[in-house]
Amino acid sequence: MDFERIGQVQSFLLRHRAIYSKAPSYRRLLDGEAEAAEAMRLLREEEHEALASLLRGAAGYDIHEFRDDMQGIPQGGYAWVAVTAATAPPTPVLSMDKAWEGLAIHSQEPRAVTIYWFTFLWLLLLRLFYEREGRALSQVSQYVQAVVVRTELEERVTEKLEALRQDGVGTDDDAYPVAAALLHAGRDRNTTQTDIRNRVSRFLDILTKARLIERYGEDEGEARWRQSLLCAVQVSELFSAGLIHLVPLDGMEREIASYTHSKSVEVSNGADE
Amino acid sequence: MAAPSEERTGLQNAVYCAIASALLEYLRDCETRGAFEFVDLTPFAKEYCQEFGVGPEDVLWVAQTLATPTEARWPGGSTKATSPLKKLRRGHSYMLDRVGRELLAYVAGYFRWVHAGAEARKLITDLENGDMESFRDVAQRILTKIRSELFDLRQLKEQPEVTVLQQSFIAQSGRFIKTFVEVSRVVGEAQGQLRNPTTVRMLQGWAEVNEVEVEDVLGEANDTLTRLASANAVLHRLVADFVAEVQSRQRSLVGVIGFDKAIDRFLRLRSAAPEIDPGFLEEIMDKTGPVSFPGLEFNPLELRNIVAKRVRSEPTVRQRIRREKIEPKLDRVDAFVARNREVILRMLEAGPVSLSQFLAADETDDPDQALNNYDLDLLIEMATVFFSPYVLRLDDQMKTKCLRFQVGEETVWTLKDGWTLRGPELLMELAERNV
Repeated sequence: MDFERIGQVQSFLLRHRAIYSKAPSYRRLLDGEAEAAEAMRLLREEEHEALASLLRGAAGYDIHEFRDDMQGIPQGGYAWVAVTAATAPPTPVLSMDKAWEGLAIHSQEPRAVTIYWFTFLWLLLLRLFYEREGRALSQVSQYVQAVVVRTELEERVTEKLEALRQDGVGTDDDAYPVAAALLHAGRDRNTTQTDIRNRVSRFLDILTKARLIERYGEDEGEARWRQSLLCAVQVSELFSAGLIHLVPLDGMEREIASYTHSKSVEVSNGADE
Repeated sequence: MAAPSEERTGLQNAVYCAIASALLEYLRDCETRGAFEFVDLTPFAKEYCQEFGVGPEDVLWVAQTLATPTEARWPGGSTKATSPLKKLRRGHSYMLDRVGRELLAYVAGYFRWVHAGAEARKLITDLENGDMESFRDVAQRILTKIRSELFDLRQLKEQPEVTVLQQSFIAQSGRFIKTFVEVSRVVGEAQGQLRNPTTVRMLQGWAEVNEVEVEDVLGEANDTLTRLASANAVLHRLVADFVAEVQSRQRSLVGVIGFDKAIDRFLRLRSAAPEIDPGFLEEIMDKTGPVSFPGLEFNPLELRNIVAKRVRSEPTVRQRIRREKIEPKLDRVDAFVARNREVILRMLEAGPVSLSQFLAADETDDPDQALNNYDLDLLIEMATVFFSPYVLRLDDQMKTKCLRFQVGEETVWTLKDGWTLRGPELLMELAERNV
C-alpha cells in the first residue's frame, strides 16, 4: 500500500472536503487538486478502504464518488466529496468554534446569540436553495440551479425580522429568547441594517471556506453563490439526522405516514401468506 | 413628434429566429464540450449581436423568450414543458431543456429520431462509405444523446416519491435500455468494420484526399468508438442503479421541505422549548452545516504559516551582507586528532608509544599525556591513529620525520565502554626519514 498517496488524498479531503479532477467552468482547480485527483484515481481497492477508514476515524467522513454523468462535472471528469456520516460520533478534532468566531460581530457576543443567527441564516439559505426552487432534498443533481446573491439573503433576513417586530414578539427577552437575541444583537441592543449586511457577508464567507457554497460568476456587480455538490449530498444525507427536528410537525407527519404505510403493507403481506 | 416605436424590430424579419437557432446550437456545443451546466450567455450576446446587427439586450431577450414556458393544450391533456431553455433565477445563465434538445435533433434533419440506437447504425454506413466527417458528426450526436439520457435518468432517479418513481420507470426505462443495448451492438460491429479490408480501403481513399495517414484515421475512429462504449457503460450502470432503486425503495425520500415555516417556528420558539438549547443547535449545525475547517489548524503543509509567521523587516538603511567564513565540518576521528595532535606528538617524541599506552592515555592524570576523546562515539576509534596513521598528517608538520611500526605480542584490550579488541600489540615510533 502506498501510504504517501493515501496521505496526500486524505490531507486534501480533510482540508477542502472535495476533489475535482477537471476544473468546472466557473473556477480553477486549487493548488494540489489535480495531483490529489490523480492520486485518488490510482488508489487500489485496499488503499481505497484504508483511506475510507482513515477519514472515518479522523473526522467521521464518508467518501462519495461522482463521474461526469452528474451535472456540473466536466466531461471525462471525476469528483469526490467527503460527507459527514450520519452515524459518525462527534470527533474531538472538529468543532464549530471557527464558524462561531467568524460569525460573531463583536468578541463579547454570547455564544447562544451567534448560534441562533447561524441557524436562522442556514435555514434561510436552505429555503432559497430548496423550497423556492420546488426542489426535493433528494434531488441532489439540481444543485446546479441553486444560486443566490447576497442581497437576496439580506432582504429575506430583513423581512423576517420586520415581521417579528410587528408581532411584538421580540419585546420580551425571556419569553422568546431566539427572537430577542436576533432583534437585539447589535451594539445598542438593536439590530441595524449594517449589522445584517455584516452578518450575511460573514456567513457566506464561512460557508465558502467550508466549501458548502461556491462563487459562481456575477450578477450586476453582485457575486453569485451556488450550492456545492458537497452541500447538496450532505443535506440530502443528513437531513433526517438533525435538521428534521427544526421542521414543523406537519412535515414530520407526512414523513412518518409514508414510513408506517409501507410497513403496514409489509405486515399484511406477511399475514396473507 | 411621434414617439419612436418600442416594438423590437427583429420581430418583423427572421433575425430573431436566426439568433434563437444560433443560441440553441451554442448551448448544445457547450454541453458537448463541457458539463451539463448553466452557461452565462452575456459573452455570447456581445459577440453575436454584431453578426446580426442587433444589440446584446436583443440576444438576451430572445434567450429569455425561449426560456418562458407557455401552456400547450390538446384534447385530453396539456403541458407547460414547452420551453427549449432553462434559466437560472438571477443573471443570464441558461441551459438546454429536453424540449430544446429534441428541437435541435429535428432542426438537424433527423425527423425520424427515435433513439440513439437507430442513429448508431449510421456509424457503420459512414465507415463503409469511408466518410469520416459524417462519422465524427454522428458519433458526436450519439454521445450528446447518451449524455442527455444520463441527465434525464439521474433526475428521474432522484424523484422522492415512490409512486412517481415507479410510474416514470414504467414509462421511460424502455428508451434507456434500448439505447444501451443497440449502441453497444453497433459499437461492436463498427469496431469489426475497422478490421474489414474493404472498409480500410475506403478509409484509405479518404485519408489520401485529406493528406493524412490511414493509421491515424483508424486510430481516431477506434478512439471515438471507445469513448462511445464507455459513455454507454455509464448509461448501463445508471440504468442498473435505476432498476435497483425502483425495486428497493420502500419509502419516499425526503421531499420538498417547508423551510419557511421552519424559520417562522424557530424565530418564535418560547423559552421552554427544548430546541433553543445552543448545544442542541450546535450539534445539528455541526452535522449539516460547516463542520469546521480542520485543515486550517492541522494541515502540516500549512503549519509553517502558523508556527513561523514571516516578519517583514523594518525599512531601515540597507544592511551590508555579511559573509561568514564557513568552516568545513570535520569527521569525528579527524576532530579527535586535530584536538590531540600536540599531545600525541609529545608522546611520540618522548619515545615509542604502544597501542596499549595509547588506549589508556585518556585515564592518566598527567595533563601532558592525557587524550581528550569526548567527540568520539566509541573509545575503539582512537585506535584509528595506529591502523591508518595518515590521519596524523605528519608530513604537513615534520618533513624530515616518519613513523615506524613494530608488531608485538598477541594482546587483548578491554575498553571502558565494553568493547574488546584482540590482536598483536602495535608499537609506533618517530624516526628520521632516510632521504
